[in-house]
Amino acid sequence: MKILFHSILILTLGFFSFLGAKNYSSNELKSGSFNNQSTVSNATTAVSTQEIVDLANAFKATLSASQITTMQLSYTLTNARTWSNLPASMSSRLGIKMGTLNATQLAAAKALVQAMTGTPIGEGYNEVQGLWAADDYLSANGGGSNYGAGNFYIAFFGTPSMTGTFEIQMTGHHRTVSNTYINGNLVGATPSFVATEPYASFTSGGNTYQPMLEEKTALVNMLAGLTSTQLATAHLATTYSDIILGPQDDWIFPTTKVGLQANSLSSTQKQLILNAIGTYVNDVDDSSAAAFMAQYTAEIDDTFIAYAGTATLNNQNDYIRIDGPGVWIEYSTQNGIILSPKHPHSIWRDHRKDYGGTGAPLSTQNFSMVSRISNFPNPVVENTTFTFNLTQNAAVKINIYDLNGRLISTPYKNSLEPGNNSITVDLSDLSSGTYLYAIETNGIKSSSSKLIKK
Amino acid sequence: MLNLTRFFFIMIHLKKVPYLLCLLFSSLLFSHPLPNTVVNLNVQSKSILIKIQVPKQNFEIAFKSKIAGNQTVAISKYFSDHIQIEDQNHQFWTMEFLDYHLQSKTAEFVGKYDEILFRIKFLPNKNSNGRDFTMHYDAIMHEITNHQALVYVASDWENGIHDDSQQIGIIGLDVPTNTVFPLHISLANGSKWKGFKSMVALGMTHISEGTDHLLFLLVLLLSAPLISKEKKWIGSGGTKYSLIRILKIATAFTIGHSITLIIGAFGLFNPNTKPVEILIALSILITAIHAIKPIFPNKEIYVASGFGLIHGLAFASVLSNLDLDSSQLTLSLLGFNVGIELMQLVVIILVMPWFLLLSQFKVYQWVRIIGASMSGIAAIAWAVERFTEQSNSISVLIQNSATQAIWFVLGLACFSIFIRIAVKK
Repeated sequence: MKILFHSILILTLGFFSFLGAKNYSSNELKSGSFNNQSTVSNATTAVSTQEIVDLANAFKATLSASQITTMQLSYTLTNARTWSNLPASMSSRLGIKMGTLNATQLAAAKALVQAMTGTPIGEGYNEVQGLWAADDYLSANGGGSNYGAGNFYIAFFGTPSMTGTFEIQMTGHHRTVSNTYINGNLVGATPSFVATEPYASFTSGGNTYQPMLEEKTALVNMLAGLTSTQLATAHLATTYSDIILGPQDDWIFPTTKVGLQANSLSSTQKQLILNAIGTYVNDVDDSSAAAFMAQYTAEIDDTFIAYAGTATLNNQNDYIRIDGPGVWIEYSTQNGIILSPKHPHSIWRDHRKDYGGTGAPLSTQNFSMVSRISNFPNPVVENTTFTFNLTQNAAVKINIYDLNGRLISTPYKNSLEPGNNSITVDLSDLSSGTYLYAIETNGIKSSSSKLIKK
Repeated sequence: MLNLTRFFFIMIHLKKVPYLLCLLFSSLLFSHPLPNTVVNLNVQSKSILIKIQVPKQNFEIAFKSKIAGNQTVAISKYFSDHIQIEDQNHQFWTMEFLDYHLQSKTAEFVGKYDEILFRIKFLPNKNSNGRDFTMHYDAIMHEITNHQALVYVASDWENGIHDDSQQIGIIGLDVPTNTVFPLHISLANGSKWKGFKSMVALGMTHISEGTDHLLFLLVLLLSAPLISKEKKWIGSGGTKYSLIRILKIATAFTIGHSITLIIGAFGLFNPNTKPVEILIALSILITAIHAIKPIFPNKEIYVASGFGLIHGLAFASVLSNLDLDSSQLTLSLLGFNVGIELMQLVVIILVMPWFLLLSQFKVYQWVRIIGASMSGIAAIAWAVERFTEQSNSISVLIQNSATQAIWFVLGLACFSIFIRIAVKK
């Protein structure tokens, strides 16, 4: 306990002496909570995308042809969005399972992950190792075989190369690294999900870890630096029992930011916000982290901070959000699942650069007249339900077309008001086969989707 | 009941709908906090019964008070502020808060937690379409921002839905606009015929899964082809004698269970299920003994109808769990009963010819004695299981082998044909 207190003290001092992202991995921090330093070797040298590509190819070269087929997939948003905050046993991941790799393959995989993530102690690769260890700890303490570092996956979406787009995703229960490189640059390092159970310091494989101590400490310090009036402005009246932009909640950032805007804060207070942001941004390689920090620093005045529950982050439903023009960070304290103490869930997203910004067109879908169209059950036997969101009054038709685009039937027609819709129709008269359906609003057809009639 | 398994089941069926999949995943499976609210719509002919399941802890946060003692009035007020149904003419339906009760639940990643089940009835106005309406709902999520309500059609008689498996939407905060949008629901128009057909299917499924009912009937029919004399079975009474006895026994059983099915379904008599289930097990035991050594010779018809009364009570509980309103009840009863009879008929047609054939040979006495003994053991195992409320090795074995019943019938058929060929009369 004394050591822990000591660590927090040193860390806190470290944050106050913190001036910019590049200086983040200061010597003071090295005596922090992370005692496992053996594998942190490449100090603060910049990692080029060429090195990432080389390491990716080196890893690939260790794999068999069938392993490559599993690991090397095409870059599609559907693939990229498969990460989760659940163990892979509950929500299957794409790519190759780390537990199936031999020693050589695993070493090559880890070298790649290390290059993709930053070097500061307690962040980046050091933190990834801590989160792998946390899952091993869960596995050994009641979680069983569904948990553990062997249940993390690595996938390449698109072929790693200095031209074109590819993403390297390393995802498992409480950590998802998703780096998207476009034409030789790391464009997006988000969504980056970080959580840990246990939160408190634990020992695994002879090393002691507390992977999210830095995040929590920096966020608590950020709130502690506010006056009571500022705190009151930052406080949200409602309850947050989890982060709101979790897996698959892509490009649905609030259009209106809430809480306390940083433009009214002193430079010390602004620095505390940047320190907190740094604990997430420094999870990517050092040179890319510096670039992200430069952008977030430039946008600090338009950045809002908000919290719900208490400012200690110790209690269930304690919640913090940092929402800027680019940066989005959420941290939520929740009940333990395998172990009883509370544990955090946390995410770093970027309004513009999630998935390398490649999904941006998708975000416009949310603002078109009709969105979130889906249909189930599909294949259809008799009844099927169409759901969609409508943003304004419209004459709505649900149309079914054959594969040549000919209109076959219009099972629903009505004038509807804004809101979510759930329209169940009877399609038993439709003959068996494959069709397309689209929602027509005021004469404008949505993109069509497949519908199979049994 | 709704649970995670069902979610997986639904998801398997929704593989082709990535977006919805994501929606579902993000709404329930990916959440470590307590599960979301489940809103089950029970669509009746003139009203909708809504059952809302909310984790107690979440409700208390939103309700801003602990649930202790009777708080029906305050809770009713809470829901009247947070749930409304509006018809196409912008008229609101009448809300009637029925009741609430606490129950313990278990969910993966959460473990045990307390849940509250609220029952609210909504009545449409005159001239408003009871199958096309807009639900304004923001209970819990007005306070717990990331909480969602998963909306299901738990039952819709006209569409033959009884198994609460149709998810029709999710209500939750739209993050970009910070608004909870209402959910407009348009239900497919069903028909009485569709509803009736599904009740027939339900009756057939129920009895085909009810191994105990079928076993009772079969054991009773085991001795039907035989003549008894001085408390002993003494050989076959011939085809005509046998067929008449089978018809009489089956009809008596049908009359018996129909009477209590009707009484039970109308809610006139609803005994506890436990004693009924135990009595059913005992009814098999008694008929099994009778098949070995006649204890009620030539009174099978009365015994069949008497035990039929008990079996009917078990059928009735299936119907009374469906929350049917009275206008659907008569057709439901008829359909359900027709389904039971059809399934019984199928089983009799599949099994009885072989019993008839075998009954002409001496070996039948062994078939009868072994069959009856095994059924007797099964009956005792069931009785013990139902009394102690704990499964035992025999009851588990029966449960697992019941699905293989067709092999039993095939084996019986092969054996009968073999005997017919190999043994001279």
